[in-house]
Amino acid sequence: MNGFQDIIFALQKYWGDYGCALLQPYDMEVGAGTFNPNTFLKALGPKDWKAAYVQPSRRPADGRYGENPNRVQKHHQFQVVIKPSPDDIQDIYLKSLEVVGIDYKLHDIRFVEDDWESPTLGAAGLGWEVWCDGMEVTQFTYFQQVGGIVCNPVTVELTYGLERLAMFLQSVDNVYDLNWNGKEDEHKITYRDVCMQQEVEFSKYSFEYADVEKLARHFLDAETECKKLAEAGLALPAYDQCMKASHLFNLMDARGALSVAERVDRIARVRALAKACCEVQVNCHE
Amino acid sequence: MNDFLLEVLVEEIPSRLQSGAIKEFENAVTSRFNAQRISYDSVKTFISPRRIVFSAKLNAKIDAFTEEKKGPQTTAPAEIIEKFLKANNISREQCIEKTIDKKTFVFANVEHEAKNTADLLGDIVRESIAAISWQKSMHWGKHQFHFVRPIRNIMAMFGGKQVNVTLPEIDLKSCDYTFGHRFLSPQKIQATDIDSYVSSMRRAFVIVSQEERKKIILDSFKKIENENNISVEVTESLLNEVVGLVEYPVVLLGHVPEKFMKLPEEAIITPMRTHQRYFPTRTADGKLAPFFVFVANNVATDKGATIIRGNERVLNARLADAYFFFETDLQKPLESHLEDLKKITFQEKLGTLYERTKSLSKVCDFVYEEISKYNAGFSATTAALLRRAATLAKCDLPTTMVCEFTELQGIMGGHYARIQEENPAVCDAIRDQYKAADDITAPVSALLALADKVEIITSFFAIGKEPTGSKDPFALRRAAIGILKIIKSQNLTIDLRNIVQKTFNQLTVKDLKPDTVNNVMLFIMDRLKVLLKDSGISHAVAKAVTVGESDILNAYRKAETLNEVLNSEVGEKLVSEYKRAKNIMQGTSTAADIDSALFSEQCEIDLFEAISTAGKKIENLNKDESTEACEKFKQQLSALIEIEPKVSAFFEQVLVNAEDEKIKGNRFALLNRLISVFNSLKLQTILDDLG
Repeated sequence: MNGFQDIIFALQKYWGDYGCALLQPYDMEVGAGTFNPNTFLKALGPKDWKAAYVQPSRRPADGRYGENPNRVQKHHQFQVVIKPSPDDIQDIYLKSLEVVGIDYKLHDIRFVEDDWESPTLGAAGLGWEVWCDGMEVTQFTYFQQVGGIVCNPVTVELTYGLERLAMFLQSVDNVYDLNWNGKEDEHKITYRDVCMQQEVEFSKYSFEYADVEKLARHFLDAETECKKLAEAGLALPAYDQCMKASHLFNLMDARGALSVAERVDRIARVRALAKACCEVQVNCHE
Repeated sequence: MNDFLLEVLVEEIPSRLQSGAIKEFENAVTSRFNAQRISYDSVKTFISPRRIVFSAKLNAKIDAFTEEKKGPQTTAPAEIIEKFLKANNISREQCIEKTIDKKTFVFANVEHEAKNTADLLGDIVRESIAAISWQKSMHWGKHQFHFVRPIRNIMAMFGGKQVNVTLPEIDLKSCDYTFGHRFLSPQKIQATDIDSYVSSMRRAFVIVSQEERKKIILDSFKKIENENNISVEVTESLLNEVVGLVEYPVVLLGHVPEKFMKLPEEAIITPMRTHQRYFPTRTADGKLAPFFVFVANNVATDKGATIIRGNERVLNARLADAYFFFETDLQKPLESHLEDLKKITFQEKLGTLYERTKSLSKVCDFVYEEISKYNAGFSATTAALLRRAATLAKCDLPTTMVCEFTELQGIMGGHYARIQEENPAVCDAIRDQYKAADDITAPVSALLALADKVEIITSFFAIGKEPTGSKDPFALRRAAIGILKIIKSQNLTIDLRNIVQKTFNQLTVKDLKPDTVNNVMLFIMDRLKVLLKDSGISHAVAKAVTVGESDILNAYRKAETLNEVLNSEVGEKLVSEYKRAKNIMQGTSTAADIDSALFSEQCEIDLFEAISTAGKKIENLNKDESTEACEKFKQQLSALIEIEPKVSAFFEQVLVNAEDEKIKGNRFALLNRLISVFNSLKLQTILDDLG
């Protein structure tokens, strides 16, 4: 087991056996696995929840035209959410690293304080970066607040950065050299084969071609639509529009089109949308 | 006495919170011991990333005792006395009465039964755990209870037996075991006293004592230093952080590829320290060595080879980034970034960084104008260097390196300027501008930093963004203190108000707040008061020398002189005599002039002459243009001091309130003259405050 996909299989198997619902990625642009409503909205309310999924996550500003060995504008997160957080979650998590091939006799695992906060989502949590030999391989967070609402019970969120984890496991210094399918020689498919084109083209799009005026218009549309849908009590459709607004904001930001004040203003607007969606979710569904 | 041993096992506690937490926990427990009259001895506490440990020797029994409880006064309303009786389950007859300071109180002798310490420990532990006030805390699972991170186990033992501690809020009950190192020894471990606990834990790869972990780390550093002929650069804060990140420290040495050693030192050290918690190393000649030292939490079966390789790869990736940024930045002259500054908003109202740079250049000119009035040694060359430094000061902010490592602002600018062969003084000034004022020594650096701070304070005050209460988001207080320290360390005679006024006048912002200059000066002078007080100057003196002053150096010197005089024996006497005079004069009005014919005692004549001489000296010095302000003040003060024996003799030998109204009036007039001499030195505020 060594390919990028094998790591995903192993994690899916492990968390599926644990009892998580294995879900498919959300079918919209999101900035992180946390945005996926299966984390964000499900963290609200009293009902138990266990899920795991891969979430391709877009950060237009991290685009490097495929030239930086460590940074990509679309990376893959493996996301695990469990509510309420189990008492032995650290041990359960550490076993998952063993499953993907980290031998604790050889490596140094550390839990380093990292409090997580998402200004656009009005969400905050406490936890750690998990380091393996100095490399951050997972973000481990106990959600405390989502959309300004206190979480009770608390959801624990484990976010594995799949590229980093794979680079670590394959001892590769360039993300594009990652072996994707685990095969060798002419059968080998690399990260470069799969992702290079999108990295180059989306970098061009984000930094050179994205039409700021159109983005601003779309942002306004998404914002208006979100508010309308939230008023109608449709949490998920409203939240789709909120995610759209967030991604449009990220694109405008990457384009360098926002002044400091405007940036702050737009973050506050997305946060207001997220908050409205959370309130609908809590009032209508929990 | 019996052994009490407690360990609270927690998921990894943030390192920076550990030392405060253990102190607080120790206080919480011992204060409860005191309240419950539990005798204790040999308190020991330890903290590791996962453990809060408390141990002590305790008396097993708390003897019965009688507590004398003070109640209300005997004259208190009946219902209040009744309440006291009821609370203590005692009748009025059983009470005794005692008189304290002429008031009589009801006292109750309350009997406390003998108790077993073991019965009280559960509550004490539970309360003490809840008593730690974490800067940030969290809840978990289905619980409402807040703690820094989830609590997973409590081992509590007293006299060899388990103490029952329950935390119902998190469904947790204490037990008689804990666990060792997460990976090296995860099995159950039992102990009943601190010594056996510490040694069992050591065998289980946990060094519970933070001091011992620190010692192991430092000893390992020594060994590495000797073996590799390098020195490890230890910063106390990083060392303490690392001590709180590991339970079983294993120090390892990694290599930095030669090609990255071309980077400026700071660009190598910053990712090492702040991002990776590694310690940089230096060769014998003080140069950065191509190694880094780090502390792992695991004894690996391959002696750490894999761990080292992993950490080297992480650092290499970061340094490769830095290298790329560095090369990119060097493609463009530093000055060309002025254009980029036009695109970066500094503050909504104040405009872009380019506008700030222009403003800073002007303020540098004002500073130079002021400085050159009074201070020799600042030439036109200084002015030119200062202007150049101001132009380039903010140019490193848009460089890729500073965008990535913001803490390298100024430092990278200094390097880029040096590589592009700017004057060394200019390079240093760019580098030094964000440093703590105490660390700035070069003249051009000091003047640039001074101008930068005056500019930022004045412009933020001008748009109404002055600090309020504890809110000081632009660190203006720190900037003000910087101004004062620079003026002092550079020995600069300047009229600060002039500079602030000119700075304000050149601002192009709309809706400027009126009174900005006054407010800025008051703000800076308030900081000066604090600085003076910190250096042992009394509040009264600090207040007096800062009022209306805008020559900072003069204020400093005046304060020192005054403080010295007022703290001397003769000074103290003089102050109390001044007060006595003031008290006597309270409410009297003397329009009368002094009539020397009415003097009946020699001491009156002596005092009159002494006051006249001192008064003349002080007046003459006031007119004297050639003597420097502070020296003038010093001489005036000593003139005043000289009259002290005469004042003292006067009060000893003469009754001011003489029977003869004329003599009395004349003595009032004399005292009035004495007070007015004091006042001519503007000392009244100090003297009144000293009361």
